Formats: sequence, C-alpha cells, structure tokens
Amino acid sequence: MSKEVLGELEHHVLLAVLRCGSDTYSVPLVLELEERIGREVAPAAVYIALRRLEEKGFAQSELRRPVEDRGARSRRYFRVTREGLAQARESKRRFERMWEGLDPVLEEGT
Amino acid sequence: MTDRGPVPKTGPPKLATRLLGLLLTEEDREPVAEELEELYGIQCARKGAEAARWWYRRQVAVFAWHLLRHGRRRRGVAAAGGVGLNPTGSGGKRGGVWEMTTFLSELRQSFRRLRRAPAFTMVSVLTLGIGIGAFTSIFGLVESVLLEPMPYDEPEELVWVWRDYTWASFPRGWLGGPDIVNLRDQSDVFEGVVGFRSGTLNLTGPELTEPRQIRVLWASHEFFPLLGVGPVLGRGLLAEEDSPDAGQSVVLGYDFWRGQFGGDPEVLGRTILLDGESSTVVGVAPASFHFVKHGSGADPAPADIYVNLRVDLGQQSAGDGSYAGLARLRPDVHPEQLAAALAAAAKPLDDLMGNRGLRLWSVGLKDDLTEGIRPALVALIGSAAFLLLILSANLATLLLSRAAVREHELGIRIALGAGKGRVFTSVLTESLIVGSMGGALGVLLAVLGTDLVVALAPENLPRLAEVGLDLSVLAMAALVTVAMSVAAGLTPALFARRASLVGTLKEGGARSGGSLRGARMRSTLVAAQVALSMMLLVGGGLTAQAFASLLRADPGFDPGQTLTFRVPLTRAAYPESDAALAFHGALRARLSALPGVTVAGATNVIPLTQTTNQTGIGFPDAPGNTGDENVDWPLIDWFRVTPDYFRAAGFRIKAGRAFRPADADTTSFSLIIDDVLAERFFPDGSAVGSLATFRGGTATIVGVVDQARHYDVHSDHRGQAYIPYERFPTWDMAYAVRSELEPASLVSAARGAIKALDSSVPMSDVQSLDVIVTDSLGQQRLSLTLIVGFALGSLLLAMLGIYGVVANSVVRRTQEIGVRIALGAGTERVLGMVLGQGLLLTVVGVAVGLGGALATSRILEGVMFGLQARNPFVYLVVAAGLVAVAAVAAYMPARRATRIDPVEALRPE
Repeated sequence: MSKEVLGELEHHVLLAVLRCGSDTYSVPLVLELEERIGREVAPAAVYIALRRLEEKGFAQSELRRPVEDRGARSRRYFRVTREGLAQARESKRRFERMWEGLDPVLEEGT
Repeated sequence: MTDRGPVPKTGPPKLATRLLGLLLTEEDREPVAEELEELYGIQCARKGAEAARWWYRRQVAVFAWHLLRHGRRRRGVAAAGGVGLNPTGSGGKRGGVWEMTTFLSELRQSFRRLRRAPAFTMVSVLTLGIGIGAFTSIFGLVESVLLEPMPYDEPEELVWVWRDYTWASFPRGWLGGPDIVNLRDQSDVFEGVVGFRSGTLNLTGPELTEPRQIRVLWASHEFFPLLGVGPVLGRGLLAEEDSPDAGQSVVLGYDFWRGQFGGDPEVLGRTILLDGESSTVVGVAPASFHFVKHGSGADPAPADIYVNLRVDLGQQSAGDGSYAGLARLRPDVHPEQLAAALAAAAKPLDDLMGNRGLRLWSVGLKDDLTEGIRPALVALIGSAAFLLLILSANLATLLLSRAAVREHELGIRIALGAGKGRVFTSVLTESLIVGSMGGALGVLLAVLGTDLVVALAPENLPRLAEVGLDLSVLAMAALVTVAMSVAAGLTPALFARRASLVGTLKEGGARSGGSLRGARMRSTLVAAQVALSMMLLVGGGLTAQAFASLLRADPGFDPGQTLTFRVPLTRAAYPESDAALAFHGALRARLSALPGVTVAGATNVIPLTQTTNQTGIGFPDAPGNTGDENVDWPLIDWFRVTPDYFRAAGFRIKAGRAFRPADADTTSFSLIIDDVLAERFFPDGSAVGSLATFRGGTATIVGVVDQARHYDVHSDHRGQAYIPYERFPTWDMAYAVRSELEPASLVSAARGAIKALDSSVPMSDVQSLDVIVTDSLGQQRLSLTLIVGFALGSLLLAMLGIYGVVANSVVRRTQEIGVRIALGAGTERVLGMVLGQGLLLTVVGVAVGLGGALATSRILEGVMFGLQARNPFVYLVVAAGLVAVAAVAAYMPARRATRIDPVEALRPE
C-alpha cells in the first residue's frame, strides 16, 4: 500500500484530516486548508483528493446526519485509516531526511 | 424595519445547484450539496452575496471539469479499467457487458483521437458551444414569455376585459366602476370579476432615512381568490374592506416583505405610513405570485404591495374609465355566451353615452400577452435554429474531412474484419463527444447569454423578470445537442462505413487529403452551408433594413440632454392644491437655477412612459367639421404642462406660441393642440386663435405643436391637447430638465433641490429623455442585434467551410497541380483553377439559397413590422458579400497551390 504516491493536495488534505481530529467533514477541512496554506482552496478539489485518499485506502468515510442538528441533511465524515497514518508518518520521515542539512542553503538565499 | 436595499438573495444560484445535482452520483448528491451550501454561507459572510454566487458557480464548474477528466466513479467500485484496444471488435463475449466495454473503449479511443486533433476539437466545440448557447438563451426567453403558464391558478380561464370606444378608435379603454358591477351580474358566464389599478404611494416612517416610493396595486377583495392565490402569511383582503369607510389594509408582496421587513413573520398587524395614512399589514403574498402586466405593457404594473380598493364601484361615474378588469370564466363557457354576456354588460353604458358604439371585449391572458411580441420571438428562435442547422452542416463537413483522412485506416480496419457497424459507431461517437462538449459549453454560455439577453431586452418585454434557465430549457439544450450531433455525424459515419481499402490504395493514399468521394460529399455540404447562410443573411439584412427605418422614426420631439423624473406629492402632506402648486413652482425655480441647466419644465406625464388622461374635444367653428358628432367630437389625450415644458422636452411649436406665465390666469383659458388635430380640423391653417370646447369650458387655441409620440414611437395615436397645469392642478408632476451637462450628472443636484424644499418628498423614475426614446425601440433593437449577430456568425462559418474544402482539395491535388506546373501552367492559371473551385461552390450555394431566402423572407414579411421581402438591394449585397468572402477564403489555399514545387510534389511516397 505504501507504494501509492500522494499528490501535494492529497498530502495536504490527509494532514488536514489529522488536524481536524479524526472525525470531520469537508467544510472544516476547507477552512483549515485555507488557514494553513494561506489561499483559497476549491472544495471540489478537496472532495476529489478525499476520494483518492479513500481509493488508496488512506481514509475512510461514513455518511450520516450531524449529531447536533437532526434536521440537517447528511454529511460525509472522514477519518484517517491506519494505512493513512503510516503513510503520513512515512512521508514525514522522508521529508525530514530530505531536509537534513539544508537549512544553511536556505539561509544563504535570504 | 431594515433600511431599503436590494432583496437579499437567499440560497446559492439555483441553476448551478441543479447542475451540481446532475453531475454527482446519488450517494454524493446530498452531502456535497449540503456541505457546499455551508461553504457558500461562509463566502456570503466574507465577500457578500454576489461574489459568493460567482464563487459557487466556479466550484460547480471545477466539479464538472474534474468529472469530465476522471469520470464519475462510484464509491468502492474500482475504475472501469482494463478495457484494451480492440480494433476488430470480433471475438470475445457477447451481451450487455461486452457491448458496454466496446462502447467504452470506442469512447476512449475517440477521446484520444480528438486530443490528437486539438485544433479541430477546439474549433468545433467552440462554434457549437456558441451556437447552442445562443439558441438556449433565446429558447429560455421564448419559453418564459410564450410557453410557461402564468403564475395564477387555472390561468386559461382568466380574461382581460376592456372598453372599446369604437367611434374614437380607442380599443383598450379601462373599465368604469359600473362596468364591473354589470359584468358581475352576468354570473352564469363569469365566476368573478375584479377591478384594479396601479400607482405609487410614498412609504415614510421614522425607520426610513429617505422616503421611499413603492408600487401599489389597489384591488377589490376578489383579487387574490380570483387569481387563485392564497397568502403565505396572514390573510387576503376582506369584502368589508372594499367599503369607502374602511381603513387601509395592505397585503405585502413576498419580495417586498423580505426586502423591507427582513421576512419578519411578526409583521402582521403592524402599521405603516403610506402617503401619510396609517395602514395595517394584514398578509403576505406567496413568493411564487407576481402580477404580470398585460400585453400593451402599460399599467397596471406589478406591485410591491396590494391595497384594498375603497370604492363603491356601482356609484362611480359611468363615463370614467378607471380600472383594469380581469374576469374568471366559468368552465365550458362558449364564445357566443361570453360575447352575449359582454354585450349585455355594455348595453346600459352605451345607452348612457348616447349609443355611439361602446362595447366591451375580452382577451385571454396569454393571447393578450404574446400577441405583440410573438412575431419577433418567432423570428429570433427561427434564426437561432437556422444557425444551429448551419453549425450542423459545418460540423458534418469537419467530421467528414476527418473521416476522409482516416479513410485509409478505416479501410484497413474493415479489411481486417471490423464490423461496418463498429466503424459507423466510431465516427458517430466522435460526433457525439464533440457535440456533448459543445452542448456543455453552450449551457455555460447560455447562463451568461441569458443575463445578456435580459440586459439588452427592453423593460416592457412581458415577464422579463421570469426569464431564466430552468430544467425544461436545459432539457431542450440537451435535445438539440444530441439531435445536432447525430445529424452532423450521420453523413460522415455513413461515408466511413463504405470506406474500402482497395479504393484508397488505388488513389495512392491521395497524400493526406482523403479520397475524391469524401471531397465531393464535403463540397456538397459546404454548398448547402452557403445556401443556408444566404437565407439567414438575407433574413438578417431585411430585418436590419426594416429596423433602420424604424429607428429613423421621429418621436416628434428632440430628446437632447434632458433629465426626467417624477416628484409625487401626497395629498396627505399637501391637502390644498395651492400648496402643491407653490411647491412645484418653487421647485421649478430651483431647478432652473442649477448650474448648467438651460430650462426646466414639468407635465403630468412624460412621453413614452405612462398613460395620460383622455377626454372629448370639439372645435365649434372649425372648417374641418363634418356635421357627424361622432367624428367632430374625438377622444384625445390631454396633458397639463408648465410654460417652459415644451422647450425643456424639445417639443416643436409649428404655429402660434408656447404657454406664457400669464396663461396660468384662470379667467381666460388657453389651449395648445397638436398638428394631428390642427390638420384635421383646420386644414387652412387657421387653428391659432380659434375656439375649442374642452372639459366643459371654452378655450382659445394659442399654438400648435408637432405631435409627440406618447405610446409608441412608430404609430400615430389620438390627437393631443395641452393646457396650463394650474387649471387642473396635479400633485404628482413629471419634470424635464434640459441642460448642457450629461443628464446623469444633474441627478444629485436635482435631488438636493427637492430635499431643500421638503425632505419627505421622493424623487422617482429618474431617466434621461433620450434613454426613454431608445428604450421604446429596445424590443426591435434586441431582435436586430441578435439576428444580425447570427447572420454574421453564419457568414464566418461559411468562410471557414469554403476555406476547408479548397485547402483540402489543394492538398489532395498536390500531384496533379505539380504536373500542371511542370507542364507549364502559369501562376494565374493555377490560381484561377483553385479559386474557381471555391467560387463554383459558392455560386451553387447562393443560387440554391436564393430560392430559400425568397421563401423565408415571405414568412418574415408576415411577422416583422415594416419588412419588405422583395428588396433586391439586400439580396444583391448578400450574394456579392458571400462571393467576396468565398474568394478571400479560397485565395489563401490558392496562393499555396501556386507555390507547389513540381519536383517535391512528384517525388514518390
């Protein structure tokens, strides 16, 4: 499974799901991503990324009505699977390894 | 009460929401819609409703784009992969699954082929998109105006009832109170009859920073039940509220309730101030209800609120026409019964008026509404359909040339055993893909196009507010898309089916230009395209001609740079006419003194905006009198004006003089008549100084003015007379302020002048006079713009078609041309040969199109006012234009042909 590659947005969305607690739906995710990335994010793109994460087995979803408002229509709630968590861990390690020793190079640029 | 402002748009855009629903699978539909709506709410709060709506539309477009690229996949089911390339289609499983995979693989291959031909794909999708977009926008307009049922219950049972003053050729007079009572007596024919009128009232109150003029419909209590409309809140009007002694009760229109009261359900029982009178809110009309104007576009107009008509109809003067009449017929009433009932109701009034031939007549709501506009809309939808036909032919030509290029490949596929059906489907699939993409683009463009059509359309177009894309319009767009794709794909698909390897090999592959067979079919199609363009261009040209003559129509006055607006005083605030006169006098003085203002005048009604009063007039000593009282006592429009009004509104004095301030002195009575009356009664030019009998007095004619068109720029109406406004003071006056400046730049100064006199008086209907004149031509202008646009579009397509055919033939004939050049054919010879081919196509197309154009223009003549079918000039110009365009289109490939290098051309492949 971990051979599956994550696109940048998929990566971001995966982290956002982790950030929002393990049970969340698209609206807080979009807001979280906008907050973190600092620009507008198209919900459609987030949906599609979520769908891909699901297909790759990194996320699971469930359709249900919000607890606080019984009258509302259903939402799709997502959580990160064990594979997803492993993938996140793995990619963090990979990035950290890649970044190792690069700080002075970045400093030079400024 | 919130401050006034636009009604807040509530939900996300409806069309986009529907589109989203169509795009998503069933399991996704609800959560995605719900969550996107939540985000929409956040966007609203961040950036405002309008930006949020656009944001929402963008998101739907992003969805559509992703789904187009990746397909709509069902959760948990892997993507339908593993569909390999299968060129022969032979062997393998049979049955539904196999059929589906074959189709999917065909779809995939077609997509791939199209991606490899981006120019073809883009041009086809773009032209189709524009065509389908135009057609869809116009269909949306036609559907809303002509096809959609009126927003009332059982609208086909409803009729307007009008007075026809037959002796005065005034067929659309309002009903008097007694008419309505008489009609109600015919209860075996009419289920109910309601009289109503519209106007404006000033809403004031401590919560409002500025007084607000709102549109009002006064109606008796039957109004809502008759139309079959129940209130969404509270109640309708009650029978006891019709009494003259009753208080003022108000039913709020839904939008007004949302806009002015924020949709507050506590509004019932509240008191509001209308023209200073306390009025009680008793109900709210439902959102779906709005009053639709009758066909002539004049009052009564749609309203913000509905107020009880506190009038004893039976006691009113029979002579005055004061109300629009709507009646509901009982089911299964025969036309003869209806006619008899109308005649019986009219009889007492005709008797009262001296049996001069007053009659009542009725017309169905829909017939009335669409009578005037139908021809223009039919012409529009016709030309849009024509454009689609041309686009089909164009797409067919393009597909054919692609099929021709692929003929070799197709031949091999058939030789290897691919079913002919498979090859047929393969070409048709391409057409369907291009068509669907064009259709999708078309619908997106139609969203903009509809806004454009609505923006271009004149305000008096019936039911303009209802124009929009709904499901039936979208269904039509889908239908048109599929029909076009199939129609365009059929010829090339049939062609491909008969592709034979032997044939193409014999022609030596014909380089990359395809076979002769394909080229012939394309030429035929392009000639057909030219013929269709000829028909559309002639139609467009004739319409343009007719319109140009309409545009030249003289409204009878010179609008210049003149600002107009109304200043409605209320009788509550100004109970005495002297006070009202003093206010208007002071306002005129202030307006005249504004910097840049040349002259300021006022009247009761500005031309081409509203209806005015009518009355009878007589000229006792006029040489034009016939002795027949019906003829010598015509019904005329009359106006009250200030001395400077004629100058301010640009009226032309033909004889005598305009009013002077001294004419206000009511001991003498001065009158100005228009040239229509003057020529009829005083053909010898002796009008000035003669006497007239007018509204019970004797007046002296002091001047003659050119008739200012009051209802319609094109047609003459009744005669007109003007009197000094002091004689019959009016509270609600319309101002004309002529200046050296842009009229718009005067608005705030004028508003300031009003406020300085009385801050509770509103300024309404602010418009410049030239815009009023322009708007009165808006319907024709809209039709013209669109029809000419379509015609030019078709010209462009014809040009592309001719270019394609000629260029292709040059490629196909490279060897032949090379041989000719090698044998000594000069540049001119080659040029002439290639050009000749393009021109021949065009001439054949023009000849065929001429016949068609003659036939279609005869139809146009019937529906378009002032259009002359036999206008040789237009035919000539169009034919010459098409030939010229064809020459230009053929010239480019012809030049290329002359530069063919014989050595290069004859080198073996």
